[in-house]
This record gives sequence, C-alpha cells and structure tokens, in this order.
Amino acid sequence: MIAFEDVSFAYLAERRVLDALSLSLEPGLTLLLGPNGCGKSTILKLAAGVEKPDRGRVLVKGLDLWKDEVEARRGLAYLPEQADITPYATIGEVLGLVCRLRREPRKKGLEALSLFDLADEMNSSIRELSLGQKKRALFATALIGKPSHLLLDEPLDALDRGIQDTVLRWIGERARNGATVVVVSHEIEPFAEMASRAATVRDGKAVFSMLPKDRDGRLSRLEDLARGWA
Amino acid sequence: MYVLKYEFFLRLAEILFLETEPLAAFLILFLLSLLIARIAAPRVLAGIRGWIRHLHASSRLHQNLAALSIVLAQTPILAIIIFFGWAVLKPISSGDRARLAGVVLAAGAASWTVVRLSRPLRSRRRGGPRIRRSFRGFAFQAALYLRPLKLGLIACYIPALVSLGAAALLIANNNLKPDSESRAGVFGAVLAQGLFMAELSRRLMLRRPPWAWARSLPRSAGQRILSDAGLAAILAVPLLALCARFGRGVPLWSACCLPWLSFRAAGSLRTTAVGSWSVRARTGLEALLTALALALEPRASLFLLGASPLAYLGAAAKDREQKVSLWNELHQLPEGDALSGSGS
Repeated sequence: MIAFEDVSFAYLAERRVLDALSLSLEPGLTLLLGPNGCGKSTILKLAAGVEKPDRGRVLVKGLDLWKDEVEARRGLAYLPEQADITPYATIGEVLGLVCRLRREPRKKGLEALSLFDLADEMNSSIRELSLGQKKRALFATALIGKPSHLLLDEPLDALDRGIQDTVLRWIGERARNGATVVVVSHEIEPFAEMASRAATVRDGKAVFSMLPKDRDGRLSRLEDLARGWA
Repeated sequence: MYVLKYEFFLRLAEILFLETEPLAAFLILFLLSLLIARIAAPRVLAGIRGWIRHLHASSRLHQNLAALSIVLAQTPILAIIIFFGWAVLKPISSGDRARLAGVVLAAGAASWTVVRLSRPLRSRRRGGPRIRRSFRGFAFQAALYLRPLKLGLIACYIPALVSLGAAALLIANNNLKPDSESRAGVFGAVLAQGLFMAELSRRLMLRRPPWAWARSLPRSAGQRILSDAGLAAILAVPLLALCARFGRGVPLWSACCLPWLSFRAAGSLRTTAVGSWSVRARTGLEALLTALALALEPRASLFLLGASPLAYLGAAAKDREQKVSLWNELHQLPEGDALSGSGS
C-alpha cells in the first residue's frame, strides 16, 4: 500500500500542483485520470520517490520514502512517461544496476529483456535505441524482482500492438496477485475491466469514484473522470 | 606583487609583432583564435539547432551570423592583443595598421572555420557517446561519471593548473619569506582543487543531467553523494601530487580539505538554477574564500576535515530536495530533446 499524508508539492514556488493531499493506494489496479497538467504524473513521481514532497510524507508499506530511502524503494517499480534512461550506458549495464540494487541475479535481467524482445540489444548503447525500445527496456527493469508496487505513467505509449498485449496481460496478472498497481493513462478502454478503482485530480486533491460493474457504465464513469468531472 | 609582470606581455607582443614574419604571426593568431572559437562555438551554436532551422533563412546566413557572434565573443581578448601590439609598434605606419587588422582577420577566419566544421550545423547530433565496453558495480558508477566528461575532463584541470602555475610564479618572481612561500603554496593548491571541482561540477551539470528514473531505485541520496564526491576526490589526487613542490606541508593541508570540497561540489550539482555559471561561480568563490582562509591559517584545514560529515549531510539533503523534473524542463527540453544528455 502507498499512503500520502498531507502532501503538498510545487515545481515552482508560486504554482502549487498538490495541496495537502492525503490518499491511500490499495492493492489492485488504481487508474489516475484527468486533464493535462492536473497533477497525475506528479502523484506518480512522488509515490516513486523521484520528487520529494515540500510538505507531508509518502509511505510505501509503512516506510517513509525519504527516511528509509533504500528499504521503501526495494519493492517499487516506476515507469515514467518519457523513457528516461541515461544515454551514457548500455541496456545491459542498466539491467545490471537494477538487478544489483534489487538483489536479484543477473540472469533475471536477461529473462526480462527476452520477454520484451531486447535480448539482442544487451550491449547496445541507450542512444542507439528507439523511443519504443527504451520504454521496453524500462518495462524489463520493472519485471526484475517482482516489485509489489508498480507505478506506470502512460504505459502503452510508443509500444507496438504485440508488446501492448504483453504489458496489459502482465499488469492484469500483477494486480490480481495483490500488487499495488497505479496507472496514469489517457487510454481508458484497455484498463476499464481490470481497474479496481479510479480517481481524478482537481485543485491539487485526488477525488476517488466508485466504478459501476457494467462495462458501459464503467466506461462512461471513467470518461467523466478523464475530463476532470468528479 | 606580480604574478606575471607587464614586461612579460610586452615581450610576447614584441615576438609576435616585431620579430615574427607577418604570415607566421597571422598563422599563430589564427591558431590562437581557433582555440578560443572552439570554446565559444558550442554556446553560440546551441541557439541555432533544431526549430530555428525550419525558418526560411539559408544555412549559409545562419553560419555567417554564428561566425560573427563568435568573433564578438572574442572581442576582449582581441582588444588586449591589439593594445599590446599598438604599444610595441608605435609610431604606427600603414604596414603596422595592416598587421593589427590581421588580428581581427585571423579571428574572423578562425571563427568561420570552426562554424563550418561544427557538427550541429551539419547534422543533428544525438546525445551520449558510443559505448564499447560494459561495466558493473562501482566501475559502472565511475563510467556514468566519466563518460559524459569525455576529453572535457582534461579541460577541468586547466583552471587548476593555472592556479598552481600562478602560485609557482608568485613564489619565483618575488622575494618571499619561507613562511609566506608556504602560505602562497597552500593558497595556490587549495584554490587549484576548488577550481577543479568547480569546472568538474559545471561540466557534469551540463552533460550528466539528473537521472530522474534512477531515483526510484533502492539507492539513497547519501549513496549517490558518496559516489560522486569519491570520484571527484580521486580525480583531484594528481593535483595533490603537483603541489608537493611548494613544500612538504602543502599537500597535507590540501588533502585535509579535499573531502570538504568534494562534498560541496557534489552538492552544488544538485540544483535547478538556470545557467551553469552559477554552479561554477558559487563553487569557485567558495574555493577562493577557503583558499584565503587556509593561506592565513593552514591548520584550519583540520577543521574542514572534521566538518566534512556536515558537508556530506548538506549535499545529501540537496540531492533529496532537488526538483529533477524541473531541471529537465529548464535545461533539456529547450534543447529539443529531453533525453539528449546535453543541457544548455
């Protein structure tokens, strides 16, 4: 479980993105929806420990992300919207780093790469990869060590159909097996069936909404949330 | 007190303008300008990559204006050369005027050559080096530190060597007491380390932007700082060896303040400030003040050694507080490529 306690955050002092936000992200798939710039990706960055809250705290499995930095992040996997990997490394080196930090053998990294058709690119420099390949490499890192908290920002962007299917299957399986999966996406339909709950962000606060059981009702509710109508 | 006497520059001007053939002098000035233009070019050319190229102005026009900008960037240096040239040539004949005009002509030719040979105008450059060998563990951390610097690492030593050289000349050109000589040595050595750290920080800040995603991995801010500061300290060790010529105590006092300077430099990288000058200026100014303090009382370096854990904690706090997404917005996205690894 990921908990936000009274979290405020601003990139620039004069423009607050999140304001005294408290929420709890439970096991299962949570969809975060809303218009551009409302703060969905910022919530994910704060939950992943990429950004530190200006006020309040973020807890992962009860551990403060900025006090128990290593242990709190041990079971986290974050996929940013832009495939943010340093150009000064090879895929193999990045996978090696993740395996070492998650205390997994290196062969786990190789297996993950194979699943995303990147085994042949093991020694390729990141700069030589396309955007889709970089994104697949980041997905491969998310597989290492079976993290119990998955934070996925636009996970289907820049992926071809075949890989999209693999990713959707994997997300569904992880959510069913008790992982906390948070997805920010403008594509609603692929996640409509598997979502346990959904929320939108308005005026720096998250507004959760009950999802109807029938498919049409669900889609219509999710559409409203995506437009910021809570 | 002299570091380099006025006569030194006059002698250089005499060699260049009186004792060297006009064509050879032009060639020397051309090569000097080529070096300066090569340094100025990346900053000037950064503005004419990407979006601006779709506007309907010819690439030749872009190139000519860029060359002019680079000449203008050299104006202070050209003015100094012309001043010393005028000082040794006066009274000025028409032939002398041509020689002085040659200074500007050489700068123009060098700038135009650099612009013609610069890659950004010929093709869009993708960030990051080709990687021939993979590393693991700490070697990978070192590779992530060194790969963005490439040969720029050598340039990081230049301000440090200038400081050490100036200290050596100060000692050689003045009749100083042994105690003053030692203090001058400490000043030069500590300033050299500080300037090295400042230039290293500036280059790393530009070429190795914060890796936001990696902050989600199980690695603490303190570990990131230890890795950066440790590598910076290792790279500064050759400077310690060089300052041994100032006396036995100098390397010892300098070594004592190395952890402090390394942690401060690692912390200075963790900023969202616009412009790399602020990092270099801040770290350099801090180095200057530290060097001055240690020149007055070399034993104060023991105090800095003791205070190093505070510098470490401060740097780790800066790492945590850094708004890495904002850094990319300010530095990488204006370059047109968020993942270019080559900020402005």
